Amino acid sequence: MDKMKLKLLYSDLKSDLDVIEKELAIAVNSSSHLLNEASLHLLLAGGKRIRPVFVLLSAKFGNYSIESIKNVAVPIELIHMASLVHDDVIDDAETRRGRETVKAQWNNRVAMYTGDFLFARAIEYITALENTYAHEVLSHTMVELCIGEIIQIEDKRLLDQTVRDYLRRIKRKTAILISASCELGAIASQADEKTIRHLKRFGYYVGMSFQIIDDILDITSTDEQLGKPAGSDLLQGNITLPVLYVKNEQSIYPLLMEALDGEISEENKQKLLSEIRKSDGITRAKQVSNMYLEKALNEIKQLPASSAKKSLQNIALFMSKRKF
Amino acid sequence: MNEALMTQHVEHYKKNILMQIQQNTLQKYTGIPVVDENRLFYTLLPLLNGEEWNKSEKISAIAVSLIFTALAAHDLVKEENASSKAQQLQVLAGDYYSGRYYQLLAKDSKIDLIQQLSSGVASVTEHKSRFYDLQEYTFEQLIQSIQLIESKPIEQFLEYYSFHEYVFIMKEAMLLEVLKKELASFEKNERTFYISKSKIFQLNKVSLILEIEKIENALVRDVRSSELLKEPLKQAILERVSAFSLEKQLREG
Repeated sequence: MDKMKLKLLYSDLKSDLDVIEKELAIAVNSSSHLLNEASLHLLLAGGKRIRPVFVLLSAKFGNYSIESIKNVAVPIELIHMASLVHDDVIDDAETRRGRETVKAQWNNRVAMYTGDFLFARAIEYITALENTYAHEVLSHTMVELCIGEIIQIEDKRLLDQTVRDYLRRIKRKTAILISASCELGAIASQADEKTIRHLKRFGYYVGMSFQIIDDILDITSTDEQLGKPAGSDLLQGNITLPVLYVKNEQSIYPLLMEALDGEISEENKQKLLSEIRKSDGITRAKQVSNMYLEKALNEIKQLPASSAKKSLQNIALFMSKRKF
Repeated sequence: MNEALMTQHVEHYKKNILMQIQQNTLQKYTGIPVVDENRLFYTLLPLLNGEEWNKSEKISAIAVSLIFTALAAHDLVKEENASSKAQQLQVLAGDYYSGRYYQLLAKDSKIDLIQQLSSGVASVTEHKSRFYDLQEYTFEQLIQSIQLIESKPIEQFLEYYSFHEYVFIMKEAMLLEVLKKELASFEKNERTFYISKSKIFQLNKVSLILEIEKIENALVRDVRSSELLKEPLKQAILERVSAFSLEKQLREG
Protein backbone atom coordinates (compact mmCIF):
# COMPACT_ATOMS: atom_id res chain seq x y z
CA MET A 1 0.00 0.00 0.00
CA ASP A 2 1.23 3.49 -0.71
CA LYS A 3 2.07 4.47 2.84
CA MET A 4 2.77 8.09 1.95
CA LYS A 5 -0.68 8.63 0.46
CA LEU A 6 -2.32 6.89 3.38
CA LYS A 7 -0.40 8.99 5.89
CA LEU A 8 -1.61 12.14 4.14
CA LEU A 9 -5.16 10.98 4.79
CA TYR A 10 -4.63 11.03 8.51
CA SER A 11 -2.17 13.87 8.75
CA ASP A 12 -4.48 15.51 11.33
CA LEU A 13 -3.53 12.72 13.68
CA LYS A 14 0.20 13.09 13.20
CA SER A 15 1.05 14.33 16.68
CA ASP A 16 -1.15 11.67 18.31
CA LEU A 17 0.35 8.95 16.14
CA ASP A 18 3.79 10.12 17.25
CA VAL A 19 2.62 9.57 20.83
CA ILE A 20 1.47 6.06 19.90
CA GLU A 21 4.81 5.33 18.22
CA LYS A 22 6.71 6.42 21.32
CA GLU A 23 4.40 4.40 23.54
CA LEU A 24 4.89 1.34 21.37
CA ALA A 25 8.63 1.65 21.88
CA ILE A 26 8.11 1.90 25.65
CA ALA A 27 5.65 -1.01 25.67
CA VAL A 28 8.05 -3.40 23.93
CA ASN A 29 10.98 -2.41 26.11
CA SER A 30 12.19 -5.54 27.82
CA SER A 31 14.73 -6.55 30.44
CA SER A 32 15.69 -9.29 28.00
CA HIS A 33 18.27 -8.16 25.50
CA LEU A 34 17.04 -10.71 22.99
CA LEU A 35 13.35 -9.77 23.22
CA ASN A 36 14.27 -6.12 23.07
CA GLU A 37 16.18 -6.66 19.87
CA ALA A 38 13.46 -8.79 18.29
CA SER A 39 10.69 -6.36 19.26
CA LEU A 40 12.62 -3.35 18.02
CA HIS A 41 13.28 -5.23 14.80
CA LEU A 42 9.51 -5.43 14.38
CA LEU A 43 8.87 -1.82 15.34
CA LEU A 44 11.47 -0.56 12.90
CA ALA A 45 9.87 -2.57 10.12
CA GLY A 46 7.12 0.00 10.45
CA GLY A 47 3.70 -0.78 9.15
CA LYS A 48 0.65 1.18 8.22
CA ARG A 49 -0.51 1.54 11.84
CA ILE A 50 -3.98 1.46 10.37
CA ARG A 51 -5.53 -0.19 13.41
CA PRO A 52 -4.39 2.53 15.84
CA VAL A 53 -5.69 5.08 13.32
CA PHE A 54 -9.12 3.44 13.46
CA VAL A 55 -8.98 3.49 17.27
CA LEU A 56 -8.11 7.20 17.35
CA LEU A 57 -10.64 8.27 14.75
CA SER A 58 -13.42 6.25 16.39
CA ALA A 59 -12.56 7.81 19.73
CA LYS A 60 -13.15 11.24 18.20
CA PHE A 61 -16.89 10.47 18.37
CA GLY A 62 -16.73 10.58 22.17
CA ASN A 63 -14.63 12.40 24.76
CA TYR A 64 -11.28 12.24 23.04
CA SER A 65 -8.10 12.29 25.07
CA ILE A 66 -4.88 10.83 23.66
CA GLU A 67 -3.70 10.06 27.19
CA SER A 68 -6.51 7.58 27.72
CA ILE A 69 -7.06 6.43 24.15
CA LYS A 70 -3.43 5.37 23.75
CA ASN A 71 -4.28 2.59 26.22
CA VAL A 72 -6.37 1.04 23.46
CA ALA A 73 -4.43 2.04 20.34
CA VAL A 74 -1.10 0.66 21.56
CA PRO A 75 -2.35 -2.80 22.60
CA ILE A 76 -4.33 -3.19 19.38
CA GLU A 77 -1.16 -2.63 17.36
CA LEU A 78 0.83 -4.92 19.67
CA ILE A 79 -1.72 -7.70 19.13
CA HIS A 80 -1.44 -7.20 15.38
CA MET A 81 2.38 -7.31 15.59
CA ALA A 82 2.35 -10.41 17.80
CA SER A 83 0.06 -12.29 15.46
CA LEU A 84 2.30 -11.42 12.51
CA VAL A 85 5.36 -12.83 14.30
CA HIS A 86 3.52 -16.07 14.98
CA ASP A 87 2.08 -16.12 11.43
CA ASP A 88 5.62 -16.00 10.08
CA VAL A 89 6.41 -19.20 12.00
CA ILE A 90 3.26 -20.82 10.61
CA ASP A 91 4.03 -19.70 7.06
CA ASP A 92 7.76 -20.39 7.40
CA ALA A 93 8.23 -16.87 6.02
CA GLU A 94 11.74 -15.53 5.56
CA THR A 95 10.77 -11.92 4.83
CA ARG A 96 8.00 -9.50 5.67
CA ARG A 97 7.77 -5.93 4.41
CA GLY A 98 11.09 -6.54 2.71
CA ARG A 99 12.86 -7.35 6.00
CA GLU A 100 13.94 -10.60 7.56
CA THR A 101 11.32 -12.06 9.89
CA VAL A 102 12.07 -12.72 13.56
CA LYS A 103 11.99 -16.46 12.96
CA ALA A 104 14.46 -16.10 10.08
CA GLN A 105 16.84 -13.83 11.98
CA TRP A 106 16.75 -15.91 15.19
CA ASN A 107 14.59 -19.06 15.23
CA ASN A 108 10.99 -20.22 15.69
CA ARG A 109 11.26 -20.43 19.46
CA VAL A 110 12.49 -16.86 19.76
CA ALA A 111 9.62 -15.81 17.50
CA MET A 112 7.19 -17.64 19.78
CA TYR A 113 8.55 -15.87 22.86
CA THR A 114 8.55 -12.50 21.09
CA GLY A 115 4.91 -12.96 20.10
CA ASP A 116 3.96 -14.17 23.59
CA PHE A 117 5.77 -11.20 25.10
CA LEU A 118 3.92 -8.74 22.84
CA PHE A 119 0.54 -10.37 23.52
CA ALA A 120 1.21 -10.20 27.26
CA ARG A 121 2.30 -6.56 27.07
CA ALA A 122 -0.82 -5.73 25.03
CA ILE A 123 -3.13 -7.22 27.64
CA GLU A 124 -1.19 -5.60 30.47
CA TYR A 125 -1.41 -2.26 28.70
CA ILE A 126 -5.15 -2.34 28.06
CA THR A 127 -5.95 -3.12 31.69
CA ALA A 128 -5.57 0.62 32.22
CA LEU A 129 -9.08 0.63 30.78
CA GLU A 130 -11.32 -0.45 33.63
CA ASN A 131 -14.27 -1.47 31.55
CA THR A 132 -15.20 -5.14 31.73
CA TYR A 133 -17.12 -5.05 28.47
CA ALA A 134 -14.07 -3.70 26.60
CA HIS A 135 -12.04 -6.65 27.89
CA GLU A 136 -14.75 -9.06 26.85
CA VAL A 137 -14.65 -7.55 23.35
CA LEU A 138 -10.87 -7.77 23.09
CA SER A 139 -10.53 -11.28 24.56
CA HIS A 140 -13.31 -12.51 22.29
CA THR A 141 -11.49 -10.92 19.36
CA MET A 142 -8.22 -12.66 20.25
CA VAL A 143 -9.93 -16.04 20.50
CA GLU A 144 -11.79 -15.51 17.22
CA LEU A 145 -8.54 -14.46 15.49
CA CYS A 146 -7.06 -17.82 16.46
CA ILE A 147 -10.11 -19.74 15.33
CA GLY A 148 -9.93 -17.90 11.99
CA GLU A 149 -6.32 -18.99 11.58
CA ILE A 150 -7.13 -22.55 12.62
CA ILE A 151 -9.86 -22.70 9.98
CA GLN A 152 -7.45 -21.24 7.42
CA ILE A 153 -5.05 -24.12 8.07
CA GLU A 154 -7.90 -26.62 7.91
CA ASP A 155 -9.08 -25.17 4.61
CA LYS A 156 -5.60 -25.06 3.07
CA ARG A 157 -5.32 -26.76 -0.32
CA LEU A 158 -9.01 -27.55 -0.11
CA LEU A 159 -10.63 -26.67 -3.42
CA ASP A 160 -13.99 -27.91 -2.29
CA GLN A 161 -14.89 -24.78 -0.34
CA THR A 162 -17.51 -22.12 -0.88
CA VAL A 163 -17.43 -18.34 -1.01
CA ARG A 164 -19.23 -18.39 2.33
CA ASP A 165 -16.40 -20.46 3.84
CA TYR A 166 -13.94 -17.87 2.58
CA LEU A 167 -15.95 -14.93 3.92
CA ARG A 168 -16.37 -16.56 7.34
CA ARG A 169 -12.65 -17.16 7.45
CA ILE A 170 -11.59 -13.60 6.61
CA LYS A 171 -14.14 -12.22 9.03
CA ARG A 172 -12.24 -13.90 11.85
CA LYS A 173 -8.80 -13.52 10.37
CA THR A 174 -8.94 -9.79 9.59
CA ALA A 175 -12.26 -8.01 9.91
CA ILE A 176 -12.83 -8.74 13.57
CA LEU A 177 -9.65 -6.94 14.73
CA ILE A 178 -10.44 -3.83 12.68
CA SER A 179 -14.00 -3.95 13.95
CA ALA A 180 -12.70 -4.25 17.54
CA SER A 181 -10.30 -1.32 16.93
CA CYS A 182 -13.25 0.92 16.03
CA GLU A 183 -15.52 -0.43 18.75
CA LEU A 184 -12.91 -0.18 21.51
CA GLY A 185 -11.89 3.33 20.44
CA ALA A 186 -15.51 4.40 20.74
CA ILE A 187 -16.04 2.55 24.04
CA ALA A 188 -12.90 4.06 25.57
CA SER A 189 -14.04 7.58 24.72
CA GLN A 190 -17.52 6.85 26.05
CA ALA A 191 -19.31 7.43 22.80
CA ASP A 192 -23.02 6.63 22.84
CA GLU A 193 -24.20 3.09 22.15
CA LYS A 194 -25.62 3.80 18.71
CA THR A 195 -22.35 5.36 17.59
CA ILE A 196 -20.39 2.42 19.00
CA ARG A 197 -22.60 0.03 17.03
CA HIS A 198 -22.13 1.93 13.75
CA LEU A 199 -18.37 2.12 14.21
CA LYS A 200 -18.12 -1.56 15.07
CA ARG A 201 -20.00 -2.48 11.88
CA PHE A 202 -18.00 0.03 9.85
CA GLY A 203 -14.77 -1.64 11.02
CA TYR A 204 -16.11 -5.06 10.17
CA TYR A 205 -17.11 -4.07 6.62
CA VAL A 206 -13.87 -2.18 5.98
CA GLY A 207 -11.94 -5.19 7.25
CA MET A 208 -13.76 -7.51 4.86
CA SER A 209 -13.20 -5.19 1.92
CA PHE A 210 -9.55 -4.69 2.90
CA GLN A 211 -8.79 -8.43 3.12
CA ILE A 212 -10.41 -9.16 -0.24
CA ILE A 213 -8.25 -6.44 -1.82
CA ASP A 214 -5.21 -7.89 -0.06
CA ASP A 215 -6.00 -11.29 -1.56
CA ILE A 216 -6.42 -9.75 -5.01
CA LEU A 217 -3.10 -7.92 -4.68
CA ASP A 218 -1.33 -11.17 -3.79
CA ILE A 219 -2.07 -12.17 -7.36
CA THR A 220 -1.91 -8.89 -9.26
CA SER A 221 1.09 -7.13 -7.63
CA THR A 222 4.79 -7.56 -8.23
CA ASP A 223 7.25 -9.03 -5.72
CA GLU A 224 8.69 -5.56 -5.11
CA GLN A 225 5.31 -4.00 -4.42
CA LEU A 226 4.38 -6.74 -1.96
CA GLY A 227 7.76 -7.02 -0.23
CA LYS A 228 7.38 -10.82 -0.68
CA PRO A 229 6.96 -13.09 -3.71
CA ALA A 230 3.68 -12.55 -5.59
CA GLY A 231 1.30 -15.49 -5.26
CA SER A 232 2.73 -16.42 -1.83
CA ASP A 233 -0.70 -17.04 -0.34
CA LEU A 234 -1.67 -19.29 -3.19
CA LEU A 235 1.57 -21.26 -2.93
CA GLN A 236 0.91 -21.61 0.81
CA GLY A 237 -2.33 -23.32 -0.20
CA ASN A 238 -4.66 -20.48 0.78
CA ILE A 239 -7.61 -20.42 -1.59
CA THR A 240 -8.71 -16.83 -1.83
CA LEU A 241 -11.78 -15.24 -3.41
CA PRO A 242 -10.40 -14.50 -6.91
CA VAL A 243 -9.13 -18.07 -7.11
CA LEU A 244 -12.37 -19.55 -5.80
CA TYR A 245 -14.31 -17.91 -8.62
CA VAL A 246 -12.15 -19.36 -11.39
CA LYS A 247 -10.72 -22.54 -9.88
CA ASN A 248 -12.54 -24.82 -12.32
CA GLU A 249 -11.56 -23.01 -15.53
CA GLN A 250 -9.69 -25.23 -17.99
CA SER A 251 -6.65 -22.98 -18.24
CA ILE A 252 -6.38 -22.68 -14.46
CA TYR A 253 -7.37 -25.97 -12.82
CA PRO A 254 -4.32 -28.11 -13.76
CA LEU A 255 -1.86 -25.37 -12.79
CA LEU A 256 -3.75 -24.75 -9.58
CA MET A 257 -3.51 -28.42 -8.67
CA GLU A 258 0.23 -28.29 -9.26
CA ALA A 259 0.52 -25.24 -7.03
CA LEU A 260 -1.57 -26.83 -4.27
CA ASP A 261 0.51 -30.01 -4.47
CA GLY A 262 3.55 -27.80 -3.91
CA GLU A 263 5.18 -29.00 -7.08
CA ILE A 264 4.79 -26.03 -9.39
CA SER A 265 7.76 -24.67 -11.34
CA GLU A 266 8.50 -20.93 -11.38
CA GLU A 267 7.44 -20.79 -15.02
CA ASN A 268 4.10 -22.45 -14.33
CA LYS A 269 3.58 -20.30 -11.26
CA GLN A 270 3.90 -17.19 -13.41
CA LYS A 271 1.57 -18.75 -15.96
CA LEU A 272 -1.00 -19.52 -13.27
CA LEU A 273 -0.85 -15.97 -11.91
CA SER A 274 -1.19 -14.60 -15.41
CA GLU A 275 -4.24 -16.80 -16.15
CA ILE A 276 -5.95 -15.71 -12.94
CA ARG A 277 -5.17 -12.07 -13.73
CA LYS A 278 -6.77 -12.47 -17.15
CA SER A 279 -9.85 -14.21 -15.79
CA ASP A 280 -12.93 -12.50 -14.38
CA GLY A 281 -12.03 -13.76 -10.87
CA ILE A 282 -10.32 -10.48 -10.09
CA THR A 283 -13.28 -8.37 -11.27
CA ARG A 284 -15.78 -10.48 -9.36
CA ALA A 285 -13.71 -10.35 -6.18
CA LYS A 286 -13.44 -6.57 -6.58
CA GLN A 287 -17.20 -6.37 -6.83
CA VAL A 288 -17.56 -8.17 -3.51
CA SER A 289 -14.97 -5.88 -1.95
CA ASN A 290 -16.91 -2.88 -3.27
CA MET A 291 -20.11 -4.23 -1.80
CA TYR A 292 -18.47 -4.31 1.65
CA LEU A 293 -17.04 -0.86 1.06
CA GLU A 294 -20.54 0.47 0.32
CA LYS A 295 -21.84 -1.10 3.51
CA ALA A 296 -19.00 0.49 5.46
CA LEU A 297 -19.74 3.91 3.99
CA ASN A 298 -23.43 3.48 4.81
CA GLU A 299 -22.60 2.89 8.46
CA ILE A 300 -20.47 6.02 8.55
CA LYS A 301 -23.23 8.05 6.94
CA GLN A 302 -25.32 7.54 10.08
CA LEU A 303 -22.77 9.40 12.21
CA PRO A 304 -22.73 13.16 12.82
CA ALA A 305 -20.61 15.27 10.46
CA SER A 306 -17.04 15.79 11.65
CA SER A 307 -13.50 15.69 10.35
CA ALA A 308 -13.11 12.21 11.88
CA LYS A 309 -16.09 11.03 9.84
CA LYS A 310 -14.52 12.42 6.68
CA SER A 311 -11.18 10.76 7.50
CA LEU A 312 -12.81 7.39 8.09
CA GLN A 313 -14.63 7.67 4.76
CA ASN A 314 -11.43 8.59 2.94
CA ILE A 315 -9.38 5.83 4.54
CA ALA A 316 -12.05 3.25 3.74
CA LEU A 317 -12.12 4.42 0.14
CA PHE A 318 -8.34 4.43 -0.11
CA MET A 319 -7.92 0.98 1.42
CA SER A 320 -10.46 -0.53 -0.89
CA LYS A 321 -9.15 1.14 -4.02
CA ARG A 322 -5.45 0.76 -3.40
CA LYS A 323 -3.23 -0.66 -6.10
CA PHE A 324 -0.64 -2.23 -3.79
CA MET B 1 -9.43 -33.57 53.39
CA ASN B 2 -8.12 -37.07 52.68
CA GLU B 3 -5.86 -37.98 49.80
CA ALA B 4 -8.64 -39.50 47.71
CA LEU B 5 -10.59 -36.24 47.90
CA MET B 6 -7.48 -34.24 46.99
CA THR B 7 -6.96 -36.40 43.92
CA GLN B 8 -10.61 -35.96 43.06
CA HIS B 9 -10.27 -32.16 43.26
CA VAL B 10 -7.19 -32.16 41.02
CA GLU B 11 -8.91 -34.40 38.49
CA HIS B 12 -12.06 -32.27 38.56
CA TYR B 13 -10.03 -29.13 37.85
CA LYS B 14 -8.06 -30.83 35.10
CA LYS B 15 -11.28 -31.89 33.42
CA ASN B 16 -12.62 -28.36 33.73
CA ILE B 17 -9.45 -26.84 32.27
CA LEU B 18 -9.55 -29.19 29.30
CA MET B 19 -13.22 -28.39 28.76
CA GLN B 20 -12.44 -24.66 28.57
CA ILE B 21 -10.06 -25.20 25.65
CA GLN B 22 -11.74 -28.05 23.83
CA GLN B 23 -11.23 -27.42 20.10
CA ASN B 24 -11.60 -30.31 17.68
CA THR B 25 -8.99 -29.36 15.09
CA LEU B 26 -6.37 -28.54 17.71
CA GLN B 27 -7.00 -31.78 19.53
CA LYS B 28 -6.86 -33.79 16.31
CA TYR B 29 -3.46 -32.44 15.30
CA THR B 30 -1.75 -31.40 18.52
CA GLY B 31 -3.23 -33.91 20.97
CA ILE B 32 -4.60 -33.29 24.42
CA PRO B 33 -3.29 -30.01 25.85
CA VAL B 34 -0.60 -30.21 28.49
CA VAL B 35 -2.06 -29.83 31.98
CA ASP B 36 0.61 -30.74 34.52
CA GLU B 37 -1.19 -32.42 37.43
CA ASN B 38 1.64 -31.74 39.83
CA ARG B 39 1.55 -28.01 39.02
CA LEU B 40 -2.20 -28.08 39.36
CA PHE B 41 -1.85 -29.73 42.79
CA TYR B 42 0.36 -26.85 43.97
CA THR B 43 -1.97 -24.25 42.44
CA LEU B 44 -4.80 -25.74 44.47
CA LEU B 45 -2.85 -25.97 47.76
CA PRO B 46 -5.22 -23.66 49.71
CA LEU B 47 -8.29 -25.54 48.49
CA LEU B 48 -6.69 -28.88 49.33
CA ASN B 49 -5.86 -27.54 52.77
CA GLY B 50 -9.54 -26.76 53.35
CA GLU B 51 -9.41 -22.97 52.84
CA GLU B 52 -12.56 -21.14 51.80
CA TRP B 53 -12.60 -21.13 48.01
CA ASN B 54 -15.29 -19.26 46.10
CA LYS B 55 -16.33 -19.17 42.44
CA SER B 56 -13.83 -16.44 41.51
CA GLU B 57 -10.97 -18.38 43.04
CA LYS B 58 -12.04 -21.42 41.06
CA ILE B 59 -12.21 -19.45 37.79
CA SER B 60 -8.87 -17.77 38.46
CA ALA B 61 -7.18 -21.10 39.27
CA ILE B 62 -8.40 -22.46 35.95
CA ALA B 63 -7.20 -19.31 34.15
CA VAL B 64 -3.73 -19.60 35.71
CA SER B 65 -3.51 -23.21 34.59
CA LEU B 66 -4.49 -22.16 31.07
CA ILE B 67 -1.52 -19.78 31.02
CA PHE B 68 0.83 -22.70 31.66
CA THR B 69 -0.97 -24.82 29.08
CA ALA B 70 -0.54 -22.03 26.54
CA LEU B 71 3.15 -21.59 27.31
CA ALA B 72 3.69 -25.37 27.20
CA ALA B 73 2.09 -25.50 23.75
CA HIS B 74 4.57 -22.93 22.45
CA ASP B 75 7.47 -24.81 24.04
CA LEU B 76 6.57 -27.68 21.74
CA VAL B 77 7.15 -25.59 18.60
CA LYS B 78 10.42 -26.74 17.05
CA GLU B 79 13.26 -24.25 16.82
CA GLU B 80 13.65 -24.90 13.10
CA ASN B 81 11.22 -26.15 10.48
CA ALA B 82 7.81 -25.94 12.07
CA SER B 83 5.97 -26.10 8.78
CA SER B 84 4.03 -29.32 9.33
CA LYS B 85 0.31 -28.95 9.95
CA ALA B 86 0.70 -30.22 13.53
CA GLN B 87 3.41 -27.64 14.25
CA GLN B 88 1.45 -24.81 12.64
CA LEU B 89 -1.48 -25.68 14.84
CA GLN B 90 0.81 -25.91 17.86
CA VAL B 91 1.52 -22.20 17.38
CA LEU B 92 -2.18 -21.43 17.24
CA ALA B 93 -2.98 -23.74 20.15
CA GLY B 94 -0.82 -21.62 22.46
CA ASP B 95 -2.44 -18.41 21.25
CA TYR B 96 -5.91 -19.91 21.58
CA TYR B 97 -5.37 -21.15 25.15
CA SER B 98 -3.88 -17.80 26.06
CA GLY B 99 -6.91 -15.99 24.62
CA ARG B 100 -9.19 -18.26 26.64
CA TYR B 101 -7.45 -17.40 29.92
CA TYR B 102 -7.98 -13.70 29.20
CA GLN B 103 -11.59 -14.28 28.18
CA LEU B 104 -12.34 -16.27 31.32
CA LEU B 105 -11.00 -13.58 33.64
CA ALA B 106 -12.58 -10.76 31.61
CA LYS B 107 -15.98 -12.40 32.02
CA ASP B 108 -15.35 -12.53 35.76
CA SER B 109 -14.39 -8.81 35.77
CA LYS B 110 -10.97 -9.59 37.20
CA ILE B 111 -9.18 -6.75 35.42
CA ASP B 112 -6.63 -6.20 38.18
CA LEU B 113 -5.71 -9.89 38.17
CA ILE B 114 -5.46 -9.83 34.36
CA GLN B 115 -3.02 -6.93 34.72
CA GLN B 116 -0.85 -8.84 37.19
CA LEU B 117 -0.90 -12.10 35.29
CA SER B 118 -0.12 -10.52 31.93
CA SER B 119 2.81 -8.72 33.50
CA GLY B 120 3.85 -12.10 34.91
CA VAL B 121 3.59 -13.79 31.51
CA ALA B 122 5.75 -11.05 29.97
CA SER B 123 8.30 -11.71 32.68
CA VAL B 124 8.16 -15.49 32.10
CA THR B 125 8.91 -14.99 28.38
CA GLU B 126 11.80 -12.66 29.25
CA HIS B 127 13.32 -15.30 31.50
CA LYS B 128 12.74 -18.08 28.97
CA SER B 129 14.60 -16.06 26.38
CA ARG B 130 17.64 -16.04 28.70
CA PHE B 131 18.22 -19.59 27.55
CA TYR B 132 18.46 -18.38 23.96
CA ASP B 133 20.47 -15.18 24.11
CA LEU B 134 24.21 -14.77 24.04
CA GLN B 135 24.56 -13.01 27.36
CA GLU B 136 26.33 -14.81 30.19
CA TYR B 137 24.23 -15.59 33.26
CA THR B 138 25.42 -16.99 36.55
CA PHE B 139 24.28 -20.34 37.92
CA GLU B 140 22.17 -18.54 40.55
CA GLN B 141 20.57 -16.23 37.99
CA LEU B 142 19.50 -19.17 35.87
CA ILE B 143 18.09 -21.04 38.88
CA GLN B 144 16.06 -17.93 39.72
CA SER B 145 14.87 -17.73 36.12
CA ILE B 146 13.71 -21.35 36.19
CA GLN B 147 11.83 -20.77 39.41
CA LEU B 148 10.12 -17.72 37.99
CA ILE B 149 9.21 -19.50 34.74
CA GLU B 150 7.76 -22.46 36.61
CA SER B 151 5.79 -20.60 39.24
CA LYS B 152 5.29 -16.86 38.69
CA PRO B 153 1.62 -16.91 37.58
CA ILE B 154 0.70 -19.27 40.45
CA GLU B 155 2.51 -16.99 42.89
CA GLN B 156 0.53 -14.02 41.56
CA PHE B 157 -2.73 -15.93 41.88
CA LEU B 158 -1.99 -16.99 45.46
CA GLU B 159 -0.89 -13.49 46.44
CA TYR B 160 -3.96 -11.94 44.78
CA TYR B 161 -6.27 -14.03 46.95
CA SER B 162 -4.10 -13.47 50.05
CA PHE B 163 -2.87 -17.04 50.29
CA HIS B 164 0.63 -15.70 50.96
CA GLU B 165 1.63 -18.54 53.28
CA TYR B 166 1.48 -21.10 50.50
CA VAL B 167 3.77 -19.25 48.10
CA PHE B 168 7.12 -20.43 49.44
CA ILE B 169 6.20 -24.11 49.47
CA MET B 170 4.67 -23.92 46.00
CA LYS B 171 7.71 -22.13 44.52
CA GLU B 172 10.24 -24.50 46.05
CA ALA B 173 8.24 -27.57 45.07
CA MET B 174 7.87 -26.42 41.45
CA LEU B 175 11.58 -25.64 41.19
CA LEU B 176 12.56 -28.92 42.80
CA GLU B 177 10.42 -30.99 40.50
CA VAL B 178 11.62 -29.38 37.30
CA LEU B 179 15.29 -29.54 38.26
CA LYS B 180 15.02 -33.22 39.13
CA LYS B 181 13.21 -34.03 35.91
CA GLU B 182 15.66 -32.01 33.86
CA LEU B 183 18.71 -33.62 35.40
CA ALA B 184 17.30 -37.13 35.04
CA SER B 185 16.41 -36.53 31.38
CA PHE B 186 19.78 -34.97 30.67
CA GLU B 187 21.54 -37.99 32.14
CA LYS B 188 19.47 -40.18 29.85
CA ASN B 189 20.53 -38.04 26.88
CA GLU B 190 16.94 -36.93 26.39
CA ARG B 191 15.87 -33.48 25.28
CA THR B 192 15.78 -31.03 28.18
CA PHE B 193 14.46 -27.53 28.20
CA TYR B 194 16.97 -25.78 30.42
CA ILE B 195 20.13 -27.88 30.84
CA SER B 196 20.67 -28.51 27.12
CA LYS B 197 20.55 -24.77 26.58
CA SER B 198 22.94 -23.86 29.34
CA LYS B 199 26.67 -24.53 29.39
CA ILE B 200 26.84 -23.42 33.00
CA PHE B 201 24.51 -26.22 34.12
CA GLN B 202 26.31 -28.77 32.00
CA LEU B 203 29.67 -27.76 33.46
CA ASN B 204 28.38 -27.60 37.04
CA LYS B 205 26.37 -30.76 37.38
CA VAL B 206 27.64 -31.36 40.91
CA SER B 207 26.46 -27.89 41.93
CA LEU B 208 23.10 -28.66 40.39
CA ILE B 209 22.78 -31.89 42.39
CA LEU B 210 23.76 -30.02 45.56
CA GLU B 211 21.23 -27.31 44.78
CA ILE B 212 18.51 -29.94 44.35
CA GLU B 213 19.41 -31.53 47.66
CA LYS B 214 19.42 -28.15 49.37
CA ILE B 215 15.95 -27.25 48.04
CA GLU B 216 14.57 -30.68 48.89
CA ASN B 217 15.89 -30.59 52.46
CA ALA B 218 14.52 -27.10 53.03
CA LEU B 219 11.15 -28.01 51.54
CA VAL B 220 10.77 -31.21 53.57
CA ARG B 221 11.75 -29.35 56.74
CA ASP B 222 9.29 -26.53 56.06
CA VAL B 223 6.43 -28.85 55.24
CA ARG B 224 7.02 -31.00 58.34
CA SER B 225 7.22 -27.99 60.66
CA SER B 226 4.38 -26.03 59.04
CA GLU B 227 1.58 -24.98 61.35
CA LEU B 228 -0.57 -23.96 58.41
CA LEU B 229 -0.68 -27.23 56.50
CA LYS B 230 -3.00 -29.93 57.72
CA GLU B 231 -1.59 -33.42 58.19
CA PRO B 232 -3.10 -35.08 55.09
CA LEU B 233 -1.81 -32.29 52.85
CA LYS B 234 1.64 -32.50 54.45
CA GLN B 235 1.69 -36.21 53.70
CA ALA B 236 0.54 -35.63 50.13
CA ILE B 237 3.30 -33.08 49.51
CA LEU B 238 5.99 -35.26 51.09
CA GLU B 239 4.86 -38.22 49.02
CA ARG B 240 5.11 -36.14 45.88
CA VAL B 241 8.58 -34.97 46.81
CA SER B 242 9.78 -38.54 47.43
CA ALA B 243 8.04 -39.80 44.28
CA PHE B 244 10.31 -37.46 42.35
CA SER B 245 13.38 -38.67 44.21
CA LEU B 246 16.47 -37.73 42.24
CA GLU B 247 18.25 -40.94 43.13
CA LYS B 248 15.29 -42.98 41.97
CA GLN B 249 15.03 -41.04 38.71
CA LEU B 250 18.73 -41.34 37.99
CA ARG B 251 18.66 -45.04 38.86
CA GLU B 252 15.73 -45.59 36.52
CA GLY B 253 17.73 -43.85 33.83
